[in-house]
Amino acid sequence: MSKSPELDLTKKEKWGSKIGVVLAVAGSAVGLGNFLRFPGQAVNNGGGAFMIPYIISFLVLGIPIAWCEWTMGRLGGRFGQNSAPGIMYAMWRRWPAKFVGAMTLLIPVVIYMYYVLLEAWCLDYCIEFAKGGFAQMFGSIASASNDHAAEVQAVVGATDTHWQTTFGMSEHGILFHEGGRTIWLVLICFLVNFLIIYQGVIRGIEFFCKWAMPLLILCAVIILLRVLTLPDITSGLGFMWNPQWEQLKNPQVWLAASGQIFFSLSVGFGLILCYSSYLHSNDDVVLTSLSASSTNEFCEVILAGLIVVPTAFLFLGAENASKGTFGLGFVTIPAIMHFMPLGSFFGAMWFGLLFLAAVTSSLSMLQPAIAFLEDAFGVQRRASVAILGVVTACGAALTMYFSKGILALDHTDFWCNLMMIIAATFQVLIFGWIIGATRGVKEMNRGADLHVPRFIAFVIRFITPTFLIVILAMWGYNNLPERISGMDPGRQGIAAERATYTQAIEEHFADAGLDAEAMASEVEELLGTEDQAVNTADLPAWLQETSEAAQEGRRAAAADASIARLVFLGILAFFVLLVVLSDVACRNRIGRMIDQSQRAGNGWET
Amino acid sequence: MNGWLAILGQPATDDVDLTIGGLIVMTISVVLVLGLMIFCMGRILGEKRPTERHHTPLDIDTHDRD
Repeated sequence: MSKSPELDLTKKEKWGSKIGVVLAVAGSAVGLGNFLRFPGQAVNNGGGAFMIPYIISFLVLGIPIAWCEWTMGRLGGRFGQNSAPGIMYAMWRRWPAKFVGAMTLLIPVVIYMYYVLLEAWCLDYCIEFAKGGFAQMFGSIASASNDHAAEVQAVVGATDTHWQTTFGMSEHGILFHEGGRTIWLVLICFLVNFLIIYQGVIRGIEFFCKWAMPLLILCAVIILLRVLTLPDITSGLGFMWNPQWEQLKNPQVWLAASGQIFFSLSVGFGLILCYSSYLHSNDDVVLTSLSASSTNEFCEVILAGLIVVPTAFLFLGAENASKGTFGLGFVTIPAIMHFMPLGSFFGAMWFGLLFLAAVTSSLSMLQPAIAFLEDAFGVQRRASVAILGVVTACGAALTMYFSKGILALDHTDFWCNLMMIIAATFQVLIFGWIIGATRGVKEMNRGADLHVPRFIAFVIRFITPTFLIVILAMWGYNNLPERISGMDPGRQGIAAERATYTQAIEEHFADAGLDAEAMASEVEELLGTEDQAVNTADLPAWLQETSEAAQEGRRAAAADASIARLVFLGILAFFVLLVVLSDVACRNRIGRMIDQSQRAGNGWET
Repeated sequence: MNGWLAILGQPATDDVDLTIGGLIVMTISVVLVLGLMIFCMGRILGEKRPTERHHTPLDIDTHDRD
């Protein structure tokens, strides 16, 4: 057998400064989830009491997983690897490592396919506020409304309509027919992201994050100062922070807190693995990781926690302040700006900072795949950027096309979240049990300014994986059955058809004074038992008038279920492709790089 | 609510909705997070750059193992 030529591992990029890597990793973690998801989760799960499970999760889940990833990433970098498949294979040269690596690589690429749309929408809102589009829309409402409650309702209604139009939520494909502006904005976002990525780690990601993160924090601090000086803001702060201690008995609150920490710190999906692989072999991972995590928490707890819900409650009341991520972000916040002095200015600043947060996160989602193409197949930067651009553009176009009820986005997000927990669990298990927690912590402390205490090895080996497995089990139990049923066109079609008939029956008997139980038995008598298709021939004449609408609803629901199934199968097919590519690469170029690094005395020193 | 939890549920004053408990939780959360960030960033930014470090002969690895 001929000997393979030696690969040049000396040309690998490295971060230029410690603050650069801290801001890049913090930038990857700080995103829409911090500013929009956290406040909603806290207020709906016990207010101030939410902080207790939140801080516990940060200590036993967030920080240990982040330390594991930083350590494995830096070690992988010593083996010449910058992508998850290579790093995991360097840690454990067995086939399961390739699966974990492929899954860890898949997640950021797939998330980018919808995240870039959110980025474009933030840019859209920023431009609209800056050029006075929202002020014009609100101006006509204000003049038509007399009392505050009616004005709130009208303004929220207007922002809701704007949101639904911008997101193309009324029907599939509408953004391609009527959303020329959105397409342009998505293209601009693609261009910005890929131009930065093309510049490389130091001149692209690090340079951008060094400017964007301080600017983002400065904008948020200015908005925070404005919010804290609003009259009666204490009532809003009370709504957000007053603890409902009895909620601590609810396991769902603990699940929500740990889920928030997990998703907010961007652990488990290869971003930290990739970024930390560009560290020098003796760079401090303990302090750097803690700094990035604390910057993320600063943005989440202090900036988002004190701005979003308190202001929403103050101006729009409890109902609008308790909405979910998108409702809070794209309906409530724009509506707040109508009631706030200098609303257009602060609106543009708020969505500008969200846009910056989204770009810094997007960059971290693209870099692992770029690194994989370069490490695994020796592809040049220009080609790797082009390949990834085409792949992600196809995914983003499909997500944009199936926009009705943000269907594709919602399903993609769900499967990615599930894979994130699975990937993180495997990563921690590999660190704690394959590498060995004691050996791993020793490696973690290499070059560290602050040394990790020994008990962290125990936490990583037993507590963190147990915590993750419990989250995975509970999260799966709560969500999986509904998602799986949502992919069944037959069942979804029947449910939609019955819903239309049920509504018609309820309207028909509205004046009869039936209670809920009597109404349910009336529905069952007319439509038959649940999960059963309605026999239209047996329906009374007044109900048959609804048949056309019911059939239409049935077809639409079945089509949506088919799209949900398509999304799942698409992600599965992409995963299989990445497993195959990872396997090929690990047997060839990645394997050779790892061998060569070992021969050169890099890699493990213990 | 009973006992000390009841005290934490009382409004800080009569005319505002933020309770003493809310104020305490909010203040502790802000101080903890801000303190951690300032501590970490202080260590990162206060660290001397590699070029500013003074290397003694013992720090320099000549790779001579004989």
